[in-house]
Amino acid sequence: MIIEAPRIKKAFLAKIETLLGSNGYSTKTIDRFNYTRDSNFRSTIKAYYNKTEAAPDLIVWPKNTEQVQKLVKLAIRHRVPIVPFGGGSGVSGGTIAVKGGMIIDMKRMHRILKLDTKNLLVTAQAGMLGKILEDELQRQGYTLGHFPSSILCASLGGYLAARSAGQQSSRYGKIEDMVREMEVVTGRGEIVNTRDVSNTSGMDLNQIFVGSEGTLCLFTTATLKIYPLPETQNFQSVRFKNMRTAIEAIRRIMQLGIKPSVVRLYDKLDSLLLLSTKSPSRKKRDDLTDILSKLIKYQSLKTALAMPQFLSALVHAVSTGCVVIFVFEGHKRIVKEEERLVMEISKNMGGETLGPDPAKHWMENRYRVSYEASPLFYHGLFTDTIEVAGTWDVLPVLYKEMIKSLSQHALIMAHLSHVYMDGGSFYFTFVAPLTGSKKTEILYDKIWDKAMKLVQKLGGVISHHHGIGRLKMKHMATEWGNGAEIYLKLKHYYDPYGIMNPGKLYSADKKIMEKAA
Amino acid sequence: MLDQFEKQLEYCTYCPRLCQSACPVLATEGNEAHAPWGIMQTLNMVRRGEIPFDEEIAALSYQCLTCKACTEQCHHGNEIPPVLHEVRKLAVKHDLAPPEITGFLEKFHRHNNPFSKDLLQKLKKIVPAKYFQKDTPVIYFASCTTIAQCPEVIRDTFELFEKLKIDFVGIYPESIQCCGYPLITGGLEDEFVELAEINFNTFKQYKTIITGSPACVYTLRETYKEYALGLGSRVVSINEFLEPYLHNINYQIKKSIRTKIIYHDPCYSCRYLHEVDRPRELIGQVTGIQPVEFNHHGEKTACSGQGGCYSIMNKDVSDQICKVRLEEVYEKNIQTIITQCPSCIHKFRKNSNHLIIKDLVSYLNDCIEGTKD
Repeated sequence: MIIEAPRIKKAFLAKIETLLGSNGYSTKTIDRFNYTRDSNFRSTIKAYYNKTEAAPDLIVWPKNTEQVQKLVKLAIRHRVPIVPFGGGSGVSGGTIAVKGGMIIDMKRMHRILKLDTKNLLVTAQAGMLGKILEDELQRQGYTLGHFPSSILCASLGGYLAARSAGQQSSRYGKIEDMVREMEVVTGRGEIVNTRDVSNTSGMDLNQIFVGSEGTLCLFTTATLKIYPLPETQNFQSVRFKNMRTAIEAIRRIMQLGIKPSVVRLYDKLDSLLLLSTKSPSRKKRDDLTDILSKLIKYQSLKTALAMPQFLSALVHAVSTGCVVIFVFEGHKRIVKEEERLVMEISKNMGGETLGPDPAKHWMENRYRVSYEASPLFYHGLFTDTIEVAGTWDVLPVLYKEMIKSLSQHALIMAHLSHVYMDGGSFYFTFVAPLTGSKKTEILYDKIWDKAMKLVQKLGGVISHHHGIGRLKMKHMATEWGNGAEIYLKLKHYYDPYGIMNPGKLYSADKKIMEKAA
Repeated sequence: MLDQFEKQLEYCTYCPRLCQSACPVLATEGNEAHAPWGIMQTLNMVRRGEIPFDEEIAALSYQCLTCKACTEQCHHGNEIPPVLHEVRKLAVKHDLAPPEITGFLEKFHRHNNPFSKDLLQKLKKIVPAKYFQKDTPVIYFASCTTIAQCPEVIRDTFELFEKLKIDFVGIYPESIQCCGYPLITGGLEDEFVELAEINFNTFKQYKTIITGSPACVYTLRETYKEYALGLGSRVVSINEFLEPYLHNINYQIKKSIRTKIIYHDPCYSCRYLHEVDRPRELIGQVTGIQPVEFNHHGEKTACSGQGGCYSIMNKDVSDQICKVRLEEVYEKNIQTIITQCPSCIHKFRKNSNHLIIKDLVSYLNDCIEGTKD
């Protein structure tokens, strides 16, 4: 493991010390080592093999917007790259200091500044972690409605940077739908306040910065919509014969204008895992299913994964069907009617009711999946999720082709979640054995490359809410087409010195784009 | 090195840092290297031989309150403190421990406690002589921090015993008034064992050892056992001891007890001893009121900032953590905090101007006038 000595000029460090004091920054090797990676699995694979990503030269912890602004101005003067950092939960490598420089960790800016219960708005600092924000709102009878799997470790700034979505985005929307006003510090060293223009005409300036992944600005505060806690929550689960029918049923439900807070469709393997976890009402399954459940234990899985296609075929031959879980919330009478309509449509489409338990069980364990990475790696397996999106006409073929293509390399399962009137997001989870540093990294890159190209070929989009970061950067030229010019103009204006999170999201330089992945 | 913790270290290394929102040190400092995830992944690199075990690593192991908030949030229940305690022991053994820790030891050696004072002499001024002369199998072990920093708790405890007509409890009369917790949490294992052996030989002559400090209860009951010095069920918390008396005795309550109080769960009470309901039940039993709860209470409590030996090396951050906890008390417009750990009491008093901070026993003693018959 090698961490190179920091390359920072003394004059720059002296200014930092004056600005933040000795507790406000660090150039220590151990501290810099702990900022070499976020939660992207390519870096985790490296960690498995004792390799590290690039280290920042220093980390700073500002306490307020003025300090952030001064840090940016200092970085401009000394041409030091800036990498904004929140909770480190990102899975696309968006906070890796690929060019070294200064990580600005926002976690000391972690307060709610205003809770406006009359207009249902909350203003909070960007370093606040999602769970702490949501807990505080719930204590006062409100919710942001934003529940990403990473809520335990993601920050508000990270939500905004990566255009995050929570598990209940079908009802509450994504972060870009929630944000009303923001304060940002741009790469020009200016503080910009995007005024709340939700009720006026003109451009919504928030949308210039949301999703910019630290390449244009640092987020310092944001004002977001909130909701009163729902009066009631109802749960239902339905099993469909196959994915195509289930997707069609969900399309009809969403296009009827019903807004369940959770809709999650699991394919056969994912359904198997969902139903094999402890649930009081779980019915006894057939023997083959039981055998497969046992097979999918870490050690056996490693052996079986030598033949991922065979394993996938075996799994998909099992007749558990595809399970959809629904959560409805809000006013009792509306919830009741929504549930009735959803169950009627499901029944008409051949769905078999499984009752509320699978959905309740999911809700009780909604963040548990993130804990699964540790035992998988510990047992010599690696994993990752590819979250992509598409319109309803694209989704069935996208699912089929992705499974067909990727199951040649790994065990792959999928669920459709985050559904809307016009489409939804598919989550493909893959698991494969760790077979040596280089070989594993090649396989990992191959899976991602193949997946991204296939999604683009089929008319889908390569990310719904995990962001682009370094991981998907090279596919952004295709993704944006000539729209990239708009971004480049903004980049040129807001980051004229090219210091803001270099090597992420997009670059006009082809070499940088290719090197990124 | 550290191979006995391989699984815990590896699990944390591959985890997408899911305990971040639970850690009070991270919430205050913001440094990933001092988050449980960061400490553990760094120590894993030491275990794998990728990073040398040096002063910097040794110092890292002291950047934790050992409050176990992270364990509470971890789906795997990964325990960080045992790993850190082991690293601290190694740090001391290899002469790599931070100077604050070695300095602490020098201070400790003067009177066998962290306060460099003859605590037995001080104790004699707090508790009437009659309690020292008792030939009794039941003794009250006051704890060094209580004697040094909140002596009124000892006085109140014996006053309460008298009110409840408990006349068979003596005070632990030995010159060593420390269980050794400050030593073992600092990694000073040899010194701890030496002290624990002396304590054990005197403790074992008693049938019951009552103590009001949760860290002492845990140390005497659990840590001593790890060194084959088991005292087992002889060690009881003051709450366990008082419970039957408060249930069965017909005592009179003072009229002016309806003060709004908030209860702070010390980490050692709720996460180490799993004593969450009992203090609340005792308050309810005596006063008929329920304390106001912190947003983070019970097993989800937040540390006062004084956990482990964190404050020895990080006084400023430790004080900031405490102030965050106190902010909530001000917001809730409460004047009195009830808790049960001498370190928490001391910390809260140091960081607040006008709040009343009381031990649970003092509070109960305040509320009870005397028995009716």
